[in-house]
Parts: sequence; C-alpha cells; structure tokens
Amino acid sequence: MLIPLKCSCGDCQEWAMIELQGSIEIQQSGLLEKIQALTIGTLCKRAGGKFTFTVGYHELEGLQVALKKPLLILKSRTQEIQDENSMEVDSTGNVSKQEPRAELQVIGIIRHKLLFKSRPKALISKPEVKVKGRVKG
Amino acid sequence: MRESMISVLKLDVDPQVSVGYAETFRSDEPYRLLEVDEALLQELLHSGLTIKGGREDEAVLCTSKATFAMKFVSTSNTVLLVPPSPRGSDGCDAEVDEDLPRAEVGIVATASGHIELVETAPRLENLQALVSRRPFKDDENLGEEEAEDGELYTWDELSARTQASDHQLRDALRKLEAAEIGRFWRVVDPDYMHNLLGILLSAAVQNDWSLKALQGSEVIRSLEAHFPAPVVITCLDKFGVRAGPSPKNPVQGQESCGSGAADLWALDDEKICIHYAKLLLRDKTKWKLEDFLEEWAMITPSWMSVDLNMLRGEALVEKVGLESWLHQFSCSLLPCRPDARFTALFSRRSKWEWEDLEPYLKDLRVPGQSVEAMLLKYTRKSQPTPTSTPVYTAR
Repeated sequence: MLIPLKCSCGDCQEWAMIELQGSIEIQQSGLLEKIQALTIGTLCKRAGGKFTFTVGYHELEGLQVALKKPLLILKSRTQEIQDENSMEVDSTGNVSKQEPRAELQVIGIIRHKLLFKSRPKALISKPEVKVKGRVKG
Repeated sequence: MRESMISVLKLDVDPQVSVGYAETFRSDEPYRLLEVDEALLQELLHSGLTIKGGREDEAVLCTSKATFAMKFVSTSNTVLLVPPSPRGSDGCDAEVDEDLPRAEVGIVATASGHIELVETAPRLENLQALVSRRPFKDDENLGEEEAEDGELYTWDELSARTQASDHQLRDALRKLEAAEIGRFWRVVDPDYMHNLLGILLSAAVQNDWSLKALQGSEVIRSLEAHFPAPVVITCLDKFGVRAGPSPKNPVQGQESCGSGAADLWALDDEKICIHYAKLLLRDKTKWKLEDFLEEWAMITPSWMSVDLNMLRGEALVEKVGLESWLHQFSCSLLPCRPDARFTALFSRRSKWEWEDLEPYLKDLRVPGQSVEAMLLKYTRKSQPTPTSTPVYTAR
C-alpha cells in the first residue's frame, strides 16, 4: 500500500509550537467537554529571546528555541474511490484497488518552538499584599 | 487586528498576547508531526515522498533514493500547535466576544510526540518471489492480456508491494536479472538466458563485433526475431557492463532499451565464465575439484580462461583427506537480513576463514552498520596461535 506524502502549497507556512513541561489542568470539570475558545494565559516577550507565559497564578519562563530539524505538520486525507470495479475484485485479494486512497498532506512547518521547561513560579497576587498592608497599618 | 503567532515570535519586547484554545481546537490529534532534514524537505516540496507498507509491515518512508524507518517518539511534555493565522478566533461571529476573552494566539491541536526518520535497508525480501512466479520462456507469445492471473507484476505493482525507494527497487531488479517484458517485470528462465548468450556470442563472431564494444541497438536488431529487446538488454547487463556514460536511468524503465551513443556494452569474461560454472553446479551440486575444472574449461568459450577464484561467493572448496571437492553454495540464495545470513552461513560451516567468508558478506548493506560491526555482533573471532589464520565462529 502506498500513501503519497505531498505539499500542495509548495511553500509551507510556518506554524509555532509551544512546549510546556507538564500538562495544563482545567479546573472547572464542566469545561472538559468544551475547551474550545478557552483562554489559557498570557504570553509576553521579554528581552533576550525570553518569554513568559502566565497561567492563572503561575508564571512560566521560557525561551525561543530553533529546532535542529524542522517538523512538518501532516494531515491525512482519505478519499473514497469511485471505481465501481472495486467491489468485484474484493475477494481476490487484490488489495491495492479496494482500499480507500489515503494521502498525507503537509500543511505547515515548524522551525521554532517556545519551550517552557522550568517549574512554574507562583505569582504573589497584589490584593493580598494590600490586605497585609492594611493589617499592619 | 489579531496577531498571528509568528508575528508574536518577531514581536518587540513586552507586548502581551493572550493564548488559548481556538474555536476549531480538536483534542483528537488530527495532525502528525514528521521530523525531516533539509534535503528531505526539498525533495518533498518538489516531488513528494511515499509511505509504503502492507497491513503487517512497519511503515517506511521512501524518497527516490533511500528508505527510512518511521519511529514515533512520544513526549510527556504538552505540545501546543498554533497555525500562522489564528483560525476560529476570526471571522463572522464578532458578537460573542464581550464575555469570552478570545485567544489572540489560537491553539488548534496538541501533539503527543513526533515521527523520526531513520535510514534503513530497503525491504525487498519478497521481490524475488514476485518476479519469479512465471519466469520468461521461449514458448510465450508476448500478448499483454495473459497476465490477468496475478502472477505477473508491473513496475507500479512491484513498487506498491515492496518497501524500497524507486532507485533501490530498480537496483534489486537488475541484481535479480529481471526484465520488463510487455509491461511486466519478471526473471528470465536460465535455460532461455543461456540460449540467448550462446546465440549472442556466435552472432558476435559472425558479424565480427568486438565483445568489448557491442552496440546495444545493433545486437537487439539482429536478435529481435527470436528475443525481445528487454531480454537482450538484461542479457547484456548480466554478462557485461555498459561502456561509456549510461543514459539517465528513467524510473519507468522502458528507455533502458537504449539508443544513441550510450549503448555500448563490454562483455565481461569473468561473468560469462561464472555463468558456465553455475550451469555445471546446477546439474550437480558437488564435484571433485579437478573434474569440475576440466569440465568447466571445456564448456566455456575457448578464448576465455577460467579461474577458481571467480567462484568466490558461488561455491566452496572442501578438503576431504587428500581430495578437494567443490560444493555449490551461492550467495544469491542466502537471506538478505544480516542475522539470518549469519545463521545460514554458520549452519553451512561452523568455522570460516576471512578469505572464504568475505564474498558472502559483500552484498550485505545496512545503513549505519559496517561489515566490521556485523562481524562483532554475529561472530566470534579466534586465533589459536599468533601466526595462524583467524577463524570466525558463531556467537
């Protein structure tokens, strides 16, 4: 069986990749079903190619890293074949004709990633500081 | 206006963008990530690549020249994929946005790992069987309709049934001495080939052709009443080498029938001598050495001289008492995978000297593994005394 792998655009657009050590936990369990359009956090570029990613009360520090070898993003497309003979040859073991024709398409390329590999730093929230201040004062 | 991720990468210091799952986010990993180097990337963009494999095979990726194993490397990190323009956070549903802060960087999918490519040897074990189902013989008419029975395969069918690049498949077909007759690739019956060689040699003598400079087209023309052109080319290829620059070997084969200046062939005496030796060994697999040498010299064309060294990789000489015997043991009949090859070799002989062993390893080519590495892996080398010849035994 052959699966062609091609790029129809001829000039692949660059995608970005964000890599986090660990996983993103969604607290409200009701949201597990539908996380589309859910905001995770805020990304901010700092000096020297550094990035911070703030998720809830956690801040992640990361770097922009160039990949040693690019990653291609592949998407499979399965085409049903319209050949009406395909049903007849079914039992003869003539495999190539009856399988739906699959094809992998390159839809993008990744050359850089934002890598956040340090442990998240807890952000001390400002309201609490204010409260403490009041108590002292 | 929403920022795309790429412009985020090129952003000035300090601006913030919110990151979130896009409207079109899919949790079922709709994409695969494939790691490629620049050379592969260029070939992919220009001509495309092919993934090959049957249901039971591990898939391989083939370029025009090489074959790669595909290994999935998983990661425990969270990998978020962001397309160049935010999808799903864009467009006509502009009314919803008041409560839901929508992502400016929209994640459309996650990935649990990527596929790595490791160059590997082509998997051509079944090729010989595919092209040998019905060897081409004399008594056949060349109609194309007779191949309906699934015994014969076209180039495309062979390419789909083997895990090898076009270049490697073509090489393997040449080694198997197969010819593309009609549309089908198949080996040529040995007797038929022998017959053809005899007629070719006598035609050369009659027409006063030089055996070191045979004009392919002329040979084909003079033999075409009895032998189809692709078989003649296979014969020239089997017993000779293309002199002069070989024409570009086209993927689809037919043009190897050659035309113009490039179709000069030089017949190789050694290959022809080996052919005659193999004929003898086919009829009788075990010979007393001196009987064999005598017989061999007799059936070989008189202007060629035979030499036992030619049979390295075809036969082994065994000493029994004072007598030497020649046993057929052809490299081409041994398995192509290194582990199976060594098992076969050691079941034939438990001890090998390098001199005898070397011809049986010559055709083993595994990317990233040298012959030395294979010897270390599958054999034990021992040398009873410092001056004696080392011998290899099974590990």
